[in-house]
Amino acid sequence: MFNRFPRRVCSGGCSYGHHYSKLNYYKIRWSSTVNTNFSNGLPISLYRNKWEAVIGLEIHAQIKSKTKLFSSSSTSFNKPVNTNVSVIDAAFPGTIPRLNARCVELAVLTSFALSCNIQRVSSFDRKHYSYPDLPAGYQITQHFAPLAKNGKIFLSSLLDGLEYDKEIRIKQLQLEQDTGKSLYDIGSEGSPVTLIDLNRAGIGLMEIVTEPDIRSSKESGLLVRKLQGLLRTVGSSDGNMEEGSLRCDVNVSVHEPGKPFGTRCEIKNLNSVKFLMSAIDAEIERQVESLEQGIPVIQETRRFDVSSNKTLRLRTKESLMDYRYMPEADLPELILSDEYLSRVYQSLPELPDATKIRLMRQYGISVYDTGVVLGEEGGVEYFEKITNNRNPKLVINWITHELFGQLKTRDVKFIDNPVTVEQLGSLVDCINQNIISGTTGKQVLALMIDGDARLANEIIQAKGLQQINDSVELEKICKTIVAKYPDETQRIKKGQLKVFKWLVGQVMRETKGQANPQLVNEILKKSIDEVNLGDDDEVTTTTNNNQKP
Amino acid sequence: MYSHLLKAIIYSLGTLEENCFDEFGESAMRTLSQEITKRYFFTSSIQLSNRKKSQFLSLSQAVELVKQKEISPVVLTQKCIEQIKTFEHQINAFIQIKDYEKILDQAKQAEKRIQRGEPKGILDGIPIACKDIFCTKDLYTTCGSTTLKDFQSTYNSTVVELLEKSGAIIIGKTNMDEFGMGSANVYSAYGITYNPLLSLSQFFESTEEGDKRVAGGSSGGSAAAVASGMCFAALGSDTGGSVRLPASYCGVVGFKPSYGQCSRWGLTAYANSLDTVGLITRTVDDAKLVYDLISKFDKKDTTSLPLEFRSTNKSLNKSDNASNISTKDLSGLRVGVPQEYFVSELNEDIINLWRKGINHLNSHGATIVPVSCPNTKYALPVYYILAPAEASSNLARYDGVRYGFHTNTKENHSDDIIYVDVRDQGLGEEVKRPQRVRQLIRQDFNNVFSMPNPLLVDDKLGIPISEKSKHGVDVLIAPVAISTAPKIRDSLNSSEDLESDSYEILNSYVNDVMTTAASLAGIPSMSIPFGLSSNDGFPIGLQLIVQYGNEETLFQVAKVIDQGNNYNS
Repeated sequence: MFNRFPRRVCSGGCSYGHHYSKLNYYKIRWSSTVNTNFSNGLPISLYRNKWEAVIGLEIHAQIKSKTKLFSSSSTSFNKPVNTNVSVIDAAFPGTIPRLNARCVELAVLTSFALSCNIQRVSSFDRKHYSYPDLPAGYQITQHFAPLAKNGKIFLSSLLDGLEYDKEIRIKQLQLEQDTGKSLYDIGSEGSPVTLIDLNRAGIGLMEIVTEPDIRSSKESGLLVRKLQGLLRTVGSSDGNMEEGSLRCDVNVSVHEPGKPFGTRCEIKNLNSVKFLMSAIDAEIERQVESLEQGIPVIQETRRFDVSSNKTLRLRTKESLMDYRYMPEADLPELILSDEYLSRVYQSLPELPDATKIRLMRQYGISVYDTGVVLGEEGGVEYFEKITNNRNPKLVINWITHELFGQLKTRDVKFIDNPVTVEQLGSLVDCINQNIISGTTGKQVLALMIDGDARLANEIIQAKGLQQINDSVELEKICKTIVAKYPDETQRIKKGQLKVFKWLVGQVMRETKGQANPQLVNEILKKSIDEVNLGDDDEVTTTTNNNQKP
Repeated sequence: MYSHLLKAIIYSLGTLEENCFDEFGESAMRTLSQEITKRYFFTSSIQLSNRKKSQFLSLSQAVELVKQKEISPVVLTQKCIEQIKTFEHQINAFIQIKDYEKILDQAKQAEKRIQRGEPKGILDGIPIACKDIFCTKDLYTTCGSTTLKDFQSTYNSTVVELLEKSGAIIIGKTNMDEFGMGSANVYSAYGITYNPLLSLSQFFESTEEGDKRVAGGSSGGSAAAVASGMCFAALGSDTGGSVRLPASYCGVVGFKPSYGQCSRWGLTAYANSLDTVGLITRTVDDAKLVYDLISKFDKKDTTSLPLEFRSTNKSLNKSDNASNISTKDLSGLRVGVPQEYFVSELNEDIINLWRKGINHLNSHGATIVPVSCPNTKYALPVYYILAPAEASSNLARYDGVRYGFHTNTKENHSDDIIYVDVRDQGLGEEVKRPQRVRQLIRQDFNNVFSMPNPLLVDDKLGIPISEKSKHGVDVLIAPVAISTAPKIRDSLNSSEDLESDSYEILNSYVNDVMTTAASLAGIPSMSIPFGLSSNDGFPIGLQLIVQYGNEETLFQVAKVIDQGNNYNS
C-alpha cells in the first residue's frame, strides 16, 4: 500500500522514486495489534481485529504577538519572573481588558489557513475556575461564539506520508487567555510553597478543536505536524510543543465500527508529538483491554506517564468542573467587516501544501526535500534565492544534505546559519564549474560555517584548493600510480571493481583531493588500458558501473 | 465684619477658625456682592422639617467665587475639614481621609496658582470626595471590604485622574456597602454610614441607635459627605441605583449618566454590564459641571462610548423637542409618567410629591403624558439574576494571592481551604435568559422616548436610526425610592430573625424597582431632591429618566425640578 505514494509523485512528471524510503520520516511507531484495511476507499484501523479508535484533539497554540491578548505587557520569553505583568494581567481591581488587534489578525490568518468559516461576529465569555495562576478567577475565552468554525486539515498521501488521503474537520478556533505558571517548591523547614509567575498570564492562545475524525496515533501525529507547519508559515505561533507554545489535550474512545462511539477519556498536558502518539496508543490499549474484560470505560481526565508508558487517572467525571460560562461584559462583540477579512486574506502567505507542490513542479525536487526546507523557518526562501539560475537539484542537495547536516553536527540552528545566499551560491557555482570537487566543497562549506565570510572562489583561491583539471598533469600522476601498483592494475583488468575505486583513491590522495574525479576516472582508465592492451570491454563496464549513483 | 458674614454665608453650621480668612484678606471679602450675601445667608434651625435648602455653598458657586478671587480654596478646604472634624465621628462618611496637612497644602498651592492666574483647571483647590470603589494611587482602595484592607492601587481611575487634572483635591475615600452590594450602606466592613441630617440638626446623640436613619447605598458615604458639607461633590458609582437612592435619602443630587459616557477604568467592578460612574452633588448645575469634566472617551475602557457616537449624540440632542426649553419655559417638552412605577409599596407622601413634581413641570409649560413600560415588572428579577451573577464572577479575583487580605492559617494550609468549590453555582443558560428580558426593558424605553436610541442600528440600512417618534416623550418622571431613608433597625436584617423581618427584606428589594430599569437599559437617570416628607421630615428625591445620550435634556429639566425644590414641603 505504501507504493501508492511514489507512483502518484511520478505521475506528476517527476522521478524521485529513490527518495521513497525517506518518506516515513516522522518515525511512526506502529502498534503491534493494529491492522489497517480499506473499505470503500476509507481506511479502517482495527485494534485486535475488532476495535476502532475515535480521537479528537484540543490544541492550544500561543499567539506570536508582541504584547498580550488584553494588555500591553510584553510576551517575550525568559524574562525574570513577574516582570511582564500589568495591572490587567494581575487582575487588579478596576482594570478592564482591551483586545489586541494583532492577536485577532493572526487568529484570522490561521483560520483562513485552516479553511475555517470566519464569524463576522464573535464574542468573549468568562470561564470560571479557581487556581492561583489564574489571577481573575476566570479565563476570558470564546465559548458561546468562537472566532471561526468548520475548518479542515487535509492529510494527503502525496505530501504528508499517510497511506491514504484524509480530511480532518476543525470544529472551531477561538481566542483565549493563557494562565500564569505555578512553581512548586518544597521550601525550607518542610513547609512547601507554591510560587506564581504571571509572565505568561494573559498571553493570547488560539484554541483549535478538531471533530472526532481521527482514528489512529499516526493520524494524530501527522495532524499536529501539519498544524505546526501552518502556524509557522502564517507566523501566528511558534507551535513548539517542547517549549509549551503548543499544547495538546486529546480525547480517546474506542468502539466497534458501526456501533455508537464509546465513552471517551481526556488525556491532558502532552508536551511532544512523540508523547502524544505514545499516550494515544497506550490509552487505546487500556480501553480495549478493559472492554474485552467486560469493564466499561469511565469518562475521566487522565495524564500520560512517560516512564511506564501508561495513562493514569487525574480526576473522574464527578469532580469535573462546572465553569459557569458567562458573557464578558467588559469586551464588546468582535465584529469583522468584509473589508477587514479580505485585507487579511490578501496577506496570507503561500501555505505549505501549495509551496511543496510548487517547489516540486518548478524545480523538480523531491517531496522529501521540500519537506526539509519547509521545516526550517526561511528555508524555502533560502533555497529559492540560491537556486535562481542554478541547478535546483544540486542546490537542494547542498542545502538539505551538506549545510543542514554540518549545522546539525555543530548544533547550530538554521536561523543562526552564518552562510549567506551569495556564499552558498558561489560554492555551488564552483562545484558546477569543476573548480573544486564535492569533497573540497564540503571543506569550503565547513570554513564558511566556522565564520569565513568570503565567497567560495575567494576561499578556494586563498587556500589553493582549486581542482586539478589539467589532463596532462593528471595523466602524469595516473601513470605514476599505475606504475606504482602493478598487481592492483592486473586485478582491475580481471574485473575487480573495488580495486579500481581504491586506485582512484590513491590518485585523489596524491592530489590532496583536488583532482577532478571524473577526469581521474577517465584518465586512470586510459592509463590502465595503456599498460596492457586487450580486455578493454571489461574495464569499461567496471567504470560505468562505478559511476552509477 | 466681612469675615463674620462670609462665615455665615458659606456654612451655617459648625464653628470656623478666624485665621482661615487671612489668606485672602479684607479686600477680597469686600468684593462679595450683596446679592450673594442675601441668597446664602442662613440661620441654623433645630427643626428638621423647617430646614431651608442651600445651607452650603454649591460647587458651581464655589467655583465662581474662586474664579472671581472672592474666596480662597484654602478657606473652602478649611471649612470642609471643619465639617469633617465636627460630624465624621457621627456620620462615618469616610473610610480614609487624606492628612489634613496634605489637603491644606494642596489648597495653598492651588491658591498660589490662582493668584498667578494659572489655575490647573476650573476645580483647582476644590475639595472633592471619592467613593472607595475607585482606585487611587495615594489613598487606599478597600471597596468597603476587609479583603482589600490597606490595598494600595498602583494606578489612578480615569475619572479621578480627570478631576485631579482640573485641580480638584481628592480629600478622602467615602464609605460604601461592600463592593457596592447593598442599598443602605449598612454592609460595610468599616461601619454604617449614618444619614447626616440627624447630625446636622443636632438630633444624632439623642436618637436611639435603631431609630437613626441610613444614608442609603451603596454610595452612602459620598451622599452623606456632600450633604454634610464635608466636600463640594463626590464620585459615586451606580449599578442599580447606588447614587440615586442615597442622594434621595440625604437630600442631594444623584446622577447616573448613560452607560459608556464616563470611563470605568479604575472603578472596581460589581456588575460590569450595569456599573456606571455616578455623581453626588448639591445642585443640578454642580452635577453638570463635574459631568462635563469626566465624560470623556477613554481607550482603556472598551465599553467607553467612542468619539463618533458622542458627536452623534450631540447632534441628536440639538434637534430634540427639548432644545428650545429654558429653566422658565418648558413649552414643547413632553414629560412621560410611567404607570408601572405606581407600585403598591409607594408611601403616600412619595406619591404626593411625585404629583407635585408633575404639576411643577406642567406649570412650567411641559405637556404631561401617561406612558407605559410594561416590562418594568421584570426589571427587578432580571437585575437580581444578572447583578449577583456578574458580581460572583468579579469577586473571584479576591483570593489574597497577589494583593489584599490573606488568611495566615499555617495549619491545614491547602488549596481547598482558600479556594471554595464553586461548581454548585451553575449559571450558563440562566445568564442568557435575563439578557433577553433585559432587551425587552430597553425596548420599552425606546418605545416611549421621542429621541431614537443612538446605539440602535437600522437592520436594513446599517446606519443609526434617526427617525423620531411624534408621540414619544422627552423625559420620564418617577420616584426614586418608595420611602424616605429607612431606620437602621429596619435595614439591618439579622439572619436568625428572617421571618419577622421578611417584609423589610422584601421592601429593600422593592425599593430597587424604581432604579434598576434605567440601569438595565443603560440610560441616564437623576435623583433630584424635591422637598421633605410630611411624615418624618426627611428628604425625598424625584427621578428623571431620559433616552440614551440625552443628558442635555436631563440637566435642563432637572434644573427646573431643582428650582422648585423648597424644603418646606
